[in-house]
Amino acid sequence: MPPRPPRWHVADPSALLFQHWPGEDEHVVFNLRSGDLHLLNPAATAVLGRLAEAPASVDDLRASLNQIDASALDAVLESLDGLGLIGPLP
Amino acid sequence: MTVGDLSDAELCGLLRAQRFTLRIGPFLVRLRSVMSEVQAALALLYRAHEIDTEADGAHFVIRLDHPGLVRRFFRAQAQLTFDLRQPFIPLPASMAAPMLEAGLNWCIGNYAHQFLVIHSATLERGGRALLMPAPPGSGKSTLCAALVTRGWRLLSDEFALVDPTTGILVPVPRPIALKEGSIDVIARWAPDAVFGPSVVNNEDETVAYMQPPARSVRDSGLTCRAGWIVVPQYVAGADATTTPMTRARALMHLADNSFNYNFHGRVGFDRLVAIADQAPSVTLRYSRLDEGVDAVDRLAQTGAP
Repeated sequence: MPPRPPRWHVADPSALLFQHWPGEDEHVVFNLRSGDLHLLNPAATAVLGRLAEAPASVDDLRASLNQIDASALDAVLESLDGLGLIGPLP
Repeated sequence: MTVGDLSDAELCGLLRAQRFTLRIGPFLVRLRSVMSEVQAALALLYRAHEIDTEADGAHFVIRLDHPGLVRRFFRAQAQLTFDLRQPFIPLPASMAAPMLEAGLNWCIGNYAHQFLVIHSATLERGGRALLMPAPPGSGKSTLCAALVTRGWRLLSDEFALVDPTTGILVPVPRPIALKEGSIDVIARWAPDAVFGPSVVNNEDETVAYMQPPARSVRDSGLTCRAGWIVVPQYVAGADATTTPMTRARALMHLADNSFNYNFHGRVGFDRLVAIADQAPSVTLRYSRLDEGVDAVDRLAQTGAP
């Protein structure tokens, strides 16, 4: 298993456009860099939103997003990384 | 002047001389062909469309002819050429009409970037548009054909063309493509509907085209805005059931079926958001056409499934 990156970040937060309708759980994010649209559940939205504000380590995320359990957080980070929405901070 | 105003000889002459320019909604399409199959398809299926014999330009210039002299006389085939390219393999001459329709779809889907292009049947009633974005095989065209025989105006059975800046939907009415069992279903549903010949395509499916209603073609200049989104899903044996979609899911569905929203960047995204915002969205599972049509009519009348 590869080591966890020390910190995650959103390379260009201004390239992410979020859309959410009141009363709905899911958010939509449009990545202007890739041209891709993604449907995000509340956990993924919270993580991406937090990282769009500032880079963070997994421990930081766990502390600030305590509604997401540890294994779910790992899965969310892996998904967002796979979608090209976040990356390890160089 | 419409295609129906031309004699067979005039139509043949214009097609051979490359002076046949068809107006299909916002597009001028110049066609050249010597094939009798192409002439017959145009005379029947584009009867109400306007032509312009003096147009000095066109959005798309298409040639549909035999690929060579040998192929013309020995196992006659048809080859479509667009902008010096041949996007499809040659097919039997009997496939000329499906090839023309596939060629027009290819042109619009790949080049009409002045619009936000969504793969969707699109109809209008009371000044509002019904969008049915769905992949092939979902029953979209069957439901579309049934609805146009029950008072809905056809904008297209294949595309929603959206002005990305204003959100206005621009009609591009063309023949409605029906496959396999849907051909008989619609022939029974609307005995007065006019069909071109049934042919077997290169995927071994029987396909036939239904003539678009003349009123829809004449009213090609009447634009409208999105009013409803219905995602049809044909399920054999199923009772008609409508299920509301969240706006986020509707937005994703529009994007999944869009050819070029990302080409338009932020403007394309904002436009899809606006459509999802303004148009109530449902999924519609159905098997019996009358129930499917009733469900759509109910949605249009009450705004609720």
